[in-house]
Amino acid sequence: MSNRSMNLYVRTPKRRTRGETHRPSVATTLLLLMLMGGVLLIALAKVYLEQRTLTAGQQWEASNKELNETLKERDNLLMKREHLTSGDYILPQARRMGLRPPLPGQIRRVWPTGDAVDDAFVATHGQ
Amino acid sequence: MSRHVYVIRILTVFMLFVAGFGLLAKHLYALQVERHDELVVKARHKYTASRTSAGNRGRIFDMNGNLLVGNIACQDIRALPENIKEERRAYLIDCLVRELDVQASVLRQRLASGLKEIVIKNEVDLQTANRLKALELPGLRFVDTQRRQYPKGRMLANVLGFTQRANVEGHSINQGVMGIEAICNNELAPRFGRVTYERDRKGRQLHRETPKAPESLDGKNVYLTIHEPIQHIVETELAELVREFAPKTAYAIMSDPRTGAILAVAQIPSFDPNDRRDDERAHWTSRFVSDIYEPGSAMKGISIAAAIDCGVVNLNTVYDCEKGYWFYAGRMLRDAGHKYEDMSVADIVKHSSNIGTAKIAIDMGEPRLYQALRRFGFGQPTGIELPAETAGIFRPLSRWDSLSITRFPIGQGLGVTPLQMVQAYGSLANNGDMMKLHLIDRIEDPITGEVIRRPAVFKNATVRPSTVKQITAALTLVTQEGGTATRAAVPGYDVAGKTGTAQKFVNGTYNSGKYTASFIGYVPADNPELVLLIVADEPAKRSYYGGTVCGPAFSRIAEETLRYLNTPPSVPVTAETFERNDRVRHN
Repeated sequence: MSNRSMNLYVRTPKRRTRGETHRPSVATTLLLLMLMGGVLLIALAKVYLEQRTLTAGQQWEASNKELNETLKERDNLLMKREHLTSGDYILPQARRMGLRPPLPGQIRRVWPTGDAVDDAFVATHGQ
Repeated sequence: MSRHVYVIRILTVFMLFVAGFGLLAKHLYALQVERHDELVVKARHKYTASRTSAGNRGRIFDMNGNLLVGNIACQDIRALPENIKEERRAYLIDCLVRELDVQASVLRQRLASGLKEIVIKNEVDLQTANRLKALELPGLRFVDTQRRQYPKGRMLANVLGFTQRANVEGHSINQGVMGIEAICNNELAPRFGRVTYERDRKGRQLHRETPKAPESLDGKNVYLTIHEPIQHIVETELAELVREFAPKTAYAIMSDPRTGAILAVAQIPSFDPNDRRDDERAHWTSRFVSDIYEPGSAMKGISIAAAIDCGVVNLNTVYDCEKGYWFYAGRMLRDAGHKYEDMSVADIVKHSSNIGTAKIAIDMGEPRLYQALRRFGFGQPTGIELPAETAGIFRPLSRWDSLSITRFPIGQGLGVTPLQMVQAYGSLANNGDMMKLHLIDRIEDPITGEVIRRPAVFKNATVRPSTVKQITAALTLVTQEGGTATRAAVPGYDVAGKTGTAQKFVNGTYNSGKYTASFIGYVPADNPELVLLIVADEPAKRSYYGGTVCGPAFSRIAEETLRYLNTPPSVPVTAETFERNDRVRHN
């Protein structure tokens, strides 16, 4: 084996500086672990938040549905009230209760001219 | 192995890789660039869904916001026979029959029809639908829907019309068929909205962003010129007239002469728009719009006003009324119930003399009479917002015969609609200015709050204000002592009006024994608040005279309406006035 080819196998001495070790330092490891943990936490938080959003959305949808049902019932009740406040319904009820329109003389008319009111139009107790 | 062989092998492998990657790149290009749009749509279709929704149909109110037509939320119930096991069908049918009052045999037939989906019952109220849901019956589907509801029942039914269910864009919605529902269908109809959302594997909506409030898709609300309390008064009193005189048909129309706004309009017989099954189809039409009748003496007020306006006569001009019998153009013309000789124009109106009116018209001449009646709107539709309005029958001047000049001014030989009469008398009540009759006051968009008002429209002047004063003075005599319509008097107010008792032309003769009784007038005469027409077609009981049949109803309606409108009396009244008026009404 020639000297030239032998040189290929000569181990080059490794340069070493003070304090340097072969293994990564504890700080680097911790940093890496924290980074990985952070990423994991962010991922978990994202999943959690998405799940919460989904649940909240479903709750909103349920509440909205309930609100719509209530509004429908309210509208239906308003329609019923419109019927119950119509003259067709009230007047027969009033007649059944014994109420009747005023008779002549039971309404006090006030003339716009300020003239004296006819006695016949002044309602009194018992009329 | 030589170096050359290695190089070839390496190159071959390299070329194969290049070719492979080239093909992949080409495919990638095709997917990413060439078919990009198509594939994006396909992908979106996989994870999104959409649904359309319809709003509520607009509501109809009176002038003051009293609800006349609204919607009731309800549900249509459908069944999917495929999802109902054979052994559970009997139980299902039993439950449906009990809750929905449907026939078991019909349900069995439908379930066995082989259809994918069948109708169980439409428009079921929410309480019943909820009871059914609680039973957790298999194969049932509940579809949200609405039923058109008329909370005032028969009130104003012929004006409001009704709706029918129709399928529009996959939604079963109400579409107007008659009346205001049909005329304003475009405004009242709800709009459709499409919502697209991301969905999960089971089709449930994913809420990845803040949910948007659903867009309101409701139709517009329509406000009529009708006043519900006045409408109630008119309908109640018209029903009383029908009970007392049993006419085939009766209608009443009230308008505000200053604007042409219709305040109330009633027709008997009518129908119940909430349940039309028991009512005849003939009752659905608005007869006050499409019916034509001979107005009889009510036309004299118009004809004589026209003559006064032309300067042919004044209230003191005297005519020989021929003791009630007069031959003209070979035909006899008679005055009913009186035989006077000389009468002033005022008395001709007061006693409703046919002969006197015919002579006035002859003095006026055919062309001027024709032009005047056209100015009052006869022979033309009024243009009110209701379908199927007719123009009446008013022959052009070229087709008048020798008798026309004596018959048209007394309301024979021509056909008018009730609306035309209200419009014509409305112009007398409005100092000679004729306003277009209208029923719709405003249309409101509930979303934007935008309000579109329908302003009063001036049509044309019919007569001069000085003429109005004279004819009003003459028409006021009609409801005073000695006139033909004392029963139409209203205590505390002067009423200007005219009766009409027209023999009906049936089978080529006027001697059919059938009459149309009417009364039209405005009150207070000096500053009219309302014009009111009452028509009774073929009254069958007690009387057929316009003053007797329609006069009392006019009086009662006008009195109650003026009280409602807070119109101060124009004539001082005492308790005796009321008592005398009550006596006259009931005689």
